[in-house]
Amino acid sequence: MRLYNLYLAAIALACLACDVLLAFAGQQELSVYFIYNMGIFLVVTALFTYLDGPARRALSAVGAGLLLVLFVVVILEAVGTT
Amino acid sequence: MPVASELAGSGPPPVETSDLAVSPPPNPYRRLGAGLCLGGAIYGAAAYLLLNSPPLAAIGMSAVLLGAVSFALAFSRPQVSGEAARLMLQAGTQNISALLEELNLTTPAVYLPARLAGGQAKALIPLQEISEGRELARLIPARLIVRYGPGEAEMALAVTTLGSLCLESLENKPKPGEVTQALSYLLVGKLDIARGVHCWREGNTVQVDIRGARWQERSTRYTHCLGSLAATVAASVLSEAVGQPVRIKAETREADMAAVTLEILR
Repeated sequence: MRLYNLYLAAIALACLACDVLLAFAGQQELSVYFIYNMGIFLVVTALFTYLDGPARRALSAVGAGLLLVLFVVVILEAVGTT
Repeated sequence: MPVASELAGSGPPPVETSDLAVSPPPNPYRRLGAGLCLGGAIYGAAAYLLLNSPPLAAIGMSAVLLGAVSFALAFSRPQVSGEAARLMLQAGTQNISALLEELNLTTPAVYLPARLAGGQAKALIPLQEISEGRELARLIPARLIVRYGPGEAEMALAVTTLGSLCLESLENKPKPGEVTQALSYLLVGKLDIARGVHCWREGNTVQVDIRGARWQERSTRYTHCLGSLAATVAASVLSEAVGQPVRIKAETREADMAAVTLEILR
């Protein structure tokens, strides 16, 4: 399970670093944090190409869920600006 | 209770190869996922609604994302613990070793693709060394002791190896150009016994280099005839990819680097 632990640690560290950097940059929009975290998830998952079939399918479902949330965020932003 | 007519019926009963039924061990990824999702949601909501701090709420949101990923990884956990799997593998290899010693077989095994071995990839341990693929004149039946040619001594043991079973976990049959990818998926992702795999072909010889090898094996009659854990997987995958019998020509190991030379028999 070393590969899976490494994958989990990579996402945790990357998300934490991203959140800290954005916070230091003075970012106050939660949607921006979400978009960056989602990007990190997609990039790190794409880099770990040898994950097991069932885990990969479950991660695809997580990715689809995140895209759905992103869609809602975009709609809410669009409604908010009009 | 079986009656005598049933027992004397039509030969020996078929050997069932159904999955072993063992209760799965506790799944730490699932527990971690539940904790992170719950904790992250409560912390994020409190930070956003009570403290009105998006940066702190973002940490909670990241924890929820990490929890969802952890839940997804729970699907990759094996159904039996690592120790149970190790003992079962050891029992299987020791039994085959004992059988090989009893029959005094020392010839190197030839790995056959499923199309030549009755539907499941097998390793053939012959009485006499096989050096050409055309010596395997007939389709090998799904039995333990098989005859592969018309000659008196053209007999062999046909055994299922770790590699044969690993092939079943591949979604598609590997193509000749996909051996590195399939081996990486099996040795790095599925079995978790290596850090990386690279292989290249020169004529009928295929060289497989394995980085970060993590398996430890005693030298037994099993490893002498069939090769190491990773070599059996490599030979089975190559055999299935090229559709030809494959033999392990050489195998070396230096610290965590292993090299396997495979020969395609034509």
